[in-house]
Amino acid sequence: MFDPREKELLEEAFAQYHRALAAALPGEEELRSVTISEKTERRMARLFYHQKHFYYTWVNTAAKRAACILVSLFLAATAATVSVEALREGFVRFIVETFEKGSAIWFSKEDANTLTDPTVTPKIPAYFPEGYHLVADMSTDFQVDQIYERNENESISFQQQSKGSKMTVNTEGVSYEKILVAGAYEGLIFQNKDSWYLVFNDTEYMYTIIGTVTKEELLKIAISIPF
Amino acid sequence: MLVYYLSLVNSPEDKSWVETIYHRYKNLIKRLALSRMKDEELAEEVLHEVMLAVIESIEKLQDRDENGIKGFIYLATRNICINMLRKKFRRKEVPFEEPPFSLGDDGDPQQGLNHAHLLDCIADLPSLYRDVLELTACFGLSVKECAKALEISPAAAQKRLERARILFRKKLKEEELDV
Repeated sequence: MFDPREKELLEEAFAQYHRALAAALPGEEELRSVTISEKTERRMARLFYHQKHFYYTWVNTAAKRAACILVSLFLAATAATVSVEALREGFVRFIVETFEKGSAIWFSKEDANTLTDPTVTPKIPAYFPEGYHLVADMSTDFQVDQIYERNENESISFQQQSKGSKMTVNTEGVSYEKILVAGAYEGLIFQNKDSWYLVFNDTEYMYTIIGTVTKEELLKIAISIPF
Repeated sequence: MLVYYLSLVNSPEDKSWVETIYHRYKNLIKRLALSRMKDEELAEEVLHEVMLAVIESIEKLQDRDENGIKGFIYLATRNICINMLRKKFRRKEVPFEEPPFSLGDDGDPQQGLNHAHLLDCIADLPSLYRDVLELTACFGLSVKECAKALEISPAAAQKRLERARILFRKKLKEEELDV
C-alpha cells in the first residue's frame, strides 16, 4: 500500500503526533475525579468475564432483533406448511444461524407479542454441585444473571429471562440435541469445549445454564429450578 | 457481531491485556467522551464501544507503546462520539475540538528529518484524512478494516486514503521533506 520511504516517514510522523497528543491529553491528576458508574463497571466486568469464558456470549443487537422479526414473519407466512412435529413442539423455536466464525442457536418465543410484563421473578435453582458459590450477580428487574464458581477454572452461569427475550449461544463446531427438562419443558443441550450448555423454557421464562460440569449435573441443576 | 469480536480474543494474555487497558484508560475515555457528549450515560456508552474497538484491533495494538495506544483510543473515542451524535441527533456536522498540541522543536539531526515540521504535516491534516492514514499506515489496518472502524464504505475509505496521501506529500514538499 505504501512505499518504504513513505511508510517510514508516516510512521515517524505518527509517532511524533502520538507523543504530542499524549502530552496534550488530560493527565492522571486531572482524571482522578472521573468516576465510572456501577452499572457500567458491571457491564464491563461481564464483557471481560465473557472474554475469559469466551465459549459463550449473548447477543441482542438491533440487527439481530431485526433478523428475528424477519424470521418471525417468515414463520408466520409459512405456517401452513409447519409439520405435525413442529406443532407438538409448541411455541419455542430454535434457529441455527451460521456466522463468519461458527454458528449460533437462536432461541425465541413466537408468542412474545402477548407479553405484558417483562419483569422477572427470580427462580434460582435449589441445587448446585458441591463447592460452587455465587461470585457475581448481575441481575436486573428484567433478567437473572448469576455466576457460580468452585475455583478459577470451574464455573456455572445461570440466566433467566422473560419469554419476550431473544438470545443466541455460540455453537461453533458442536452438535446439539433436543431434550425435555423435568419431562415437560423443551430445550437444547450441547457441549462446547469444556462446558455443557442447556437452553430451555417453562411457561413463563427462558433459562440458560452453562457450566464446566457433566451433562447429568447440568440437568440436575435445571430440574431443581422451582418452576 | 459481538460473538465475532470476542472470538478474536482467545488467549489468556489477550484477555488480561484488554482488562489492563480498560483500567488504565477508562477515566481518560470517559473524560474525552463526556466533553463531547455532555451526558454521563452516553459517555459510558462510548466507553463500552471504545473497548469493543480495542478488542477488535487487539492484534494491531498489543505491540504499541503507551503513546500509540492513547492515539488509537483518542481516535476511536472521537469517531464513536461523532457517529453517536450524528445518529442520535441527526446532525450532519459534529465538530470535535482537537487538544492543543505542544509543537516543540525535538528534531533529530542524525536522521536528517525536521521532526517538528514532520509533525506539522500530520497535525495539519483534516481529521477526516488523518484518521484513515493513521489507521492504515500507523496501525496497519486494511482499507476494509479501516472503513469498518470509521463506519464508512470501503470505497469512501479508499478515496479518503488517496486524498490523505496526496495531502501528506504536498505538506512534505512544503516542508521540503520529499518522499
